Amino acid sequence: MNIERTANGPEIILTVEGRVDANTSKELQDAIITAFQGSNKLVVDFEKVEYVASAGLRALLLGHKTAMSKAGYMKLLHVAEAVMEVLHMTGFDSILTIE
Amino acid sequence: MFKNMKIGIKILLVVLFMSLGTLIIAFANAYFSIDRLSDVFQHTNVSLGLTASDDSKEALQGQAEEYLTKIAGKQAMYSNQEMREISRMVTTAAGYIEYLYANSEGFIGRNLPLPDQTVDGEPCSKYALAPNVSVTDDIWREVRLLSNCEAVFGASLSENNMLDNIYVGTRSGISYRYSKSNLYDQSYDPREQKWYHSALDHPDKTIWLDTYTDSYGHMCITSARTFRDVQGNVAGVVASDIRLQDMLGEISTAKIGQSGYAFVMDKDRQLIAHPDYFENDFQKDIDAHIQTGGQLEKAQKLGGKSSGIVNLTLDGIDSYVAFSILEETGWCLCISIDRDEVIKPALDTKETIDQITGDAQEFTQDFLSEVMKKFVIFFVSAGIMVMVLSFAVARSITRPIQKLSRSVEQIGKGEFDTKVEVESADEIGNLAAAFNDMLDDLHTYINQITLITAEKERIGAELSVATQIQADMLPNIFPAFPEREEIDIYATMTPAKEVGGDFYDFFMVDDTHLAMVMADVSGKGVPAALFMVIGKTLIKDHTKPETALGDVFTAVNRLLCESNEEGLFITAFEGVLDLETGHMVYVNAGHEPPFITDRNGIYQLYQVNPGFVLAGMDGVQYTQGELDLMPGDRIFLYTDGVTEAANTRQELYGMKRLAEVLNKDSGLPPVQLLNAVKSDVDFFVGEAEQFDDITMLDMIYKKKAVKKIENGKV
Repeated sequence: MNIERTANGPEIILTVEGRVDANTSKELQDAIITAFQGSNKLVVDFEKVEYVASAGLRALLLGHKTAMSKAGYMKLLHVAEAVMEVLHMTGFDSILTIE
Repeated sequence: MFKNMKIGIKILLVVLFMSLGTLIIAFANAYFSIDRLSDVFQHTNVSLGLTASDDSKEALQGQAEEYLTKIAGKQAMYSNQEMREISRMVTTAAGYIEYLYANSEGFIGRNLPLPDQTVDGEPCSKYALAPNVSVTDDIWREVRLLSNCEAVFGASLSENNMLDNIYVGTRSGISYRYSKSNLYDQSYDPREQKWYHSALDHPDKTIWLDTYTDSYGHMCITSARTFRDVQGNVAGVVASDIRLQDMLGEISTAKIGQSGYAFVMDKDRQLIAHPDYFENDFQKDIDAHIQTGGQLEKAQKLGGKSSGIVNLTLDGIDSYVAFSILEETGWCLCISIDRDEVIKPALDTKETIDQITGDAQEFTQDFLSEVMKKFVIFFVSAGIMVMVLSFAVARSITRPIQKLSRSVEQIGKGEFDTKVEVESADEIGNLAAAFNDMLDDLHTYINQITLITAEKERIGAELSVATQIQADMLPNIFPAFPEREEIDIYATMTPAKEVGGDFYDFFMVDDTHLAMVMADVSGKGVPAALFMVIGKTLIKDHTKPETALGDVFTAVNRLLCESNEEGLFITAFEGVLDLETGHMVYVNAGHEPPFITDRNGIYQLYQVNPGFVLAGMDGVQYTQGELDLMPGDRIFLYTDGVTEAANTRQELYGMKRLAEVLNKDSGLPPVQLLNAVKSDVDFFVGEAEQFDDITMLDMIYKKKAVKKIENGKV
């Protein structure tokens, strides 16, 4: 998994690539938490993510909660179909902001 | 070869090779020098000896040649003089006889005695007649005439003491003699004698005849000459003998040196005087004696040479032969001597020199061998010293290493208290010191590791206990409800390595309601396990006949969110089946939808409303769903450990494969079905490591339960 961090004004963009599994989700979680330390607006681009494990969902949930507490947002962009299925099955699609 | 050799031996070899090599080179150099010196010395000695003996040989030969030539020359001259004397005397005698014959009237003469009438040894005249001659007046007159000769003959005889006799033979048969001897042969006829004929053959010439042996056994030579009467006819022959011994002097008998002797040969190369002349089969031809043909002749003829010396093999002896020609007769007087005798002194000298050089050589050899011996002793001692020294050096280097090695071996066996002795300040000493430091560090580190390992083992043991506890918390006695004929249920959980977060549960809510739970806590390890325990307990506690399932999850969610610092969440599915009616209510909190068989008994994914995960957000409201099962229907619950099992290529097992294996053999009892699914998953995963718990539950609703009438209610 690779994470590329860019900024668009106050908004931070994390472009994630690869599999977000039990091994790599900690990295995603750290990247999200770090991003929220300097901003309350985060965009996570999931275009090149092919798989998300439950640990990855936990990182996203953590990010979502942090955004709520900071009165900002965390948007999930370009979610692939397979990942979307998982988000749907676990009810995350109704919680997270997915565009 | 050298790779596996001990260092000590290597060092030893190097030191030995260098030092012994140097020694050997020095030794070889010395040895060859001495050897060469010895050779040169020997060569010098030998050539010195040869040169000296050759020189002396040559000198001696030269001397001998000169000496021999001189003797031969002198003797020849002497002999020639003697012979000339005799020949002159014979000539004079013949002249006198002719004078007597011419003037016979003037001489009266006297009567001569017969030989036996004379005194033997006294020189005197005597006569004899040939056997067939009778005494006549003429004969007698002639005898008386001849008696006048004694005046001249006697004078000649006394004058020359070499002469023994002078004798005359007449044509008439008279034999007159002036001699000391009075021996006489009755049958003697002078006219038949050789000397008589020889003289007759050369009238008026004084001739020399070959040797003969006289009555006393002396070898003699004869000179003869004819004389004529008054008419001019040859009237007789006068002759005289001379002993060869007298003519040749001492050399005729005496040996010259050890082997030298003299001999004489005539013009026809016939020997006329030789020490062996009277031996039985004596060869008179000189050439029969000479093995190296014709040298003497050649030498004689060479430019009319009258004297000289030649080297030839005479009677088998390598000889020097000095020769000289006698002018009077043309004979050749020779003196021969064994060449070996001539050069014997030279050979003796050579022998002496050889002896001396040999002694010197021997002395030198002895001396050199002595030197060599000392050399060998020196080099052997030096070699031994070098070896001992090398050994000591090698040992001094390897001993600390061996010690170090032994220490290391001991340490290897776990004796960490062993210390390596630091004996020196060299590299090996440094190594030993460094080794001790390393040992201390190792000791400390091992202690730490021991502690850590112990701690780890303790935690591991505790974790395995936790895993066991977790497993024990799940219902694991099958058949679960042996008294219930309506249902057959089976469930398994295959945990991943660590203690995990999956759980299943089933229990009777009341007599007729069966609850089934399948859940998965996000994350792993102890926190997930603890969270699972809490979740499982809360769900079971809240599932009550009178409580709607949606309210159960809403309540459980609220309680879980209260104590969720870790941000964990649980996906869960719970269904409660009414065994009497087949009516089932269910609630889903983000969990995988169940497989439920359709009318044809084929497992189909049953789409349920996905609620949000438990413990994700506070205040989430869950709503329950409902469905009806017919007898024979089955429900299959599972966690994502099944569908997301990955192989080495990171491919996921997936829903499709799961559906296929579920429907592969219809009618399998739950136990076999779950085993079949597990086998299929294992086969798919192959070598890849199991990463997540694999948890499954299968239930058959066999038949409806008979409704009981209890307290009058239905």
